[in-house]
Amino acid sequence: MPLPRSVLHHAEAIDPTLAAWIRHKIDDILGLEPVTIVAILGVVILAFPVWLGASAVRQRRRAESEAHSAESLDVPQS
Amino acid sequence: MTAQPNDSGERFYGWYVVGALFFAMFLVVGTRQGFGVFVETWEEEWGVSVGAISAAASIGWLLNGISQPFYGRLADRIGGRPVVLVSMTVMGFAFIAMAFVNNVWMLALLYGVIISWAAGGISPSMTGIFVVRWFQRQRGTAMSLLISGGSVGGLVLIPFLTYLFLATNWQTAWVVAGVLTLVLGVPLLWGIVRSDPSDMGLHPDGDSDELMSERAASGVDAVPVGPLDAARWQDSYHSAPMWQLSTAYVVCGITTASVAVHFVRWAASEDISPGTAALAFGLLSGINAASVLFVGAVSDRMQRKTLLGAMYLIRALAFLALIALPGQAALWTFAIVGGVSWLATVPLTTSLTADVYGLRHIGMLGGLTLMVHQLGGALAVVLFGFAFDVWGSYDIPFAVGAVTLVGAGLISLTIRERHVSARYAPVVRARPDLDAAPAGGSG
Repeated sequence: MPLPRSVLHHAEAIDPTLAAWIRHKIDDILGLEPVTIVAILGVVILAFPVWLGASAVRQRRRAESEAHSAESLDVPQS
Repeated sequence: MTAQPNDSGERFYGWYVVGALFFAMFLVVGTRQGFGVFVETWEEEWGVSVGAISAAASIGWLLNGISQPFYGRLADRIGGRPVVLVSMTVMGFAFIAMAFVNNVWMLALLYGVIISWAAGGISPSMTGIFVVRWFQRQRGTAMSLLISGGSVGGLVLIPFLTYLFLATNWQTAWVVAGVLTLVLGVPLLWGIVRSDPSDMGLHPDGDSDELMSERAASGVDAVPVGPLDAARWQDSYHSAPMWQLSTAYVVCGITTASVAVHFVRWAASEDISPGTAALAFGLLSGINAASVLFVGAVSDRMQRKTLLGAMYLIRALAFLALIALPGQAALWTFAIVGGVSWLATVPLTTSLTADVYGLRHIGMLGGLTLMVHQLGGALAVVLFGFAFDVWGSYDIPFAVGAVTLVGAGLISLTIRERHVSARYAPVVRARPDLDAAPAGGSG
C-alpha cells in the first residue's frame, strides 16, 4: 500500500515529492547553508515553549501570592 | 493565541493548557510527518522498495486508529494527564531509537507499532479531551488552536528535519527530534497541563465561584452535562447524534486519506507533473491551516452542525471539480476548495460530541469516532487503488466520494443541535450524582 507517499491528513508522513519541492523552494528563495536554516528554525522551535513555560510559572506565582495575601487579610484581628 | 484576560487582568489558565498541548501536537505531528523526508534515503541505504517502507507506515496508520478507544477509555478513567505524559515520553525515546534502525523490520516495529501506538495518546481526540473540560463557550476556538499545532508542526519541523538531515545525517535528525520531545515537550506537559480545571481550583472558561454558585442555585448544572449524557458509553449509541457524527466522520476519513494518497497518481493520469501536484497539495495544506482557525472560532458563535455540514458539502464540490474540470483547473480548484474543509471537521466533530454527550465518556466516544475515521480511510485507499487498476481512471471513485460527502453533509445538517447540545439546551435538574461522576482524575 502506498500510504506514506502522501498522507497529509492528521499526523501521517509527508509526500517525499512535496518535501523535496519545499526544500528546493527554500533554497531558491533564501540560499542559506543548511546549518544556518537549522539554527534559525531551532530558535523558533525553542522560543515558544520557553515563553509559554515562563508565562505560566509567572501567572501561578502571582495567583499564589494573591491567595496568600487574601488569607492574611482574612485572619481575625485580636 | 487568542487568550483573553479575565476580570483580574490575567489570562485564563486554560489557554496555557492549550499552548502546552499545541506544542505537543507540534512535535508529534511534525516529526511523524517528517518520516516522508527519509523514505528515499532508506530505500537506497537498506536496498528495500518504497512498498516495504510503505507497509511499515500502513501498519502505523491502522494501529494509530485502533489505539484511540484504548487511550480514550484510559483517559476517562484516570485522567488525560498521565496518558499524554507517558505517550510523550515513549515517543521521545522511540524517536531517539529510530537512529539505530537499520532494516525495514525494525522500522515496522519501531515506527509502525511503538511510535504509532504512542502517538495515539497525543491525537486530536485525546488532546481534545482537555479542551472540552477546560472550555465551554470557547470550545471551538480552543480546539482549532490545538489542531493547528499539527499544521504548524509540519510547516516548521519538516524543513527543520530536512536541513538537519542535509547538514548531518538522518540518524542525527531523529535523535534531535527525540531530545526536543523529552527536553521541551515532556516538561511543558508536566508543568502546565492538568486534566481538569478543578485540579487547580478553577472553573471552565475561567468563570468565577460566584457565577458557578448562581448557576447551581438556579438549577442549571454548574458544570453542564450533555443533554444526552449516558451512564455507560455504549448507551450513547442508542441516540441518533452519535451515529450521525460517526457516519459523517467515516466519510471524512475516506475522502481525505484516499485523495492524499492517490493525488499524485491522479495528477500523472491527467499529464500533470508530480511537482505541480505536490505544490497544489501544499497550497491545500496552507489554506487548511487558516480555515481550521477561522471555522473553530466561528463555530462558537453559531450552530456547529451547520458549519460541519457546510464543510462536507464544500468538499463534495471539490471532488466534483476533479471529475468535471480539465486537468490543471481541476487540480487548483480542488486545492483551494478542498483546503477550506480538510481539517476543519476535526474541531467541529470533537466539540459537538462534547456538547451533546458531556464529558463523562468523551475520551471513549472521541476515540471511537477517530478510530472509524482512520479505518475508513485505510480501506478507501485500497479501494481507490483497486478501482483505478480496473477502470484506468479515478472518475468513478471520485464520484462515489462526492456522493458520500453530500450524504455526510446532509446527515450533519439533520443533527438537532438546538435540542441535544448543552449550548442551547442546558440541563436543568438536581444532580446529586454529579460529584460522583468521574471528572478525569486528579491529574
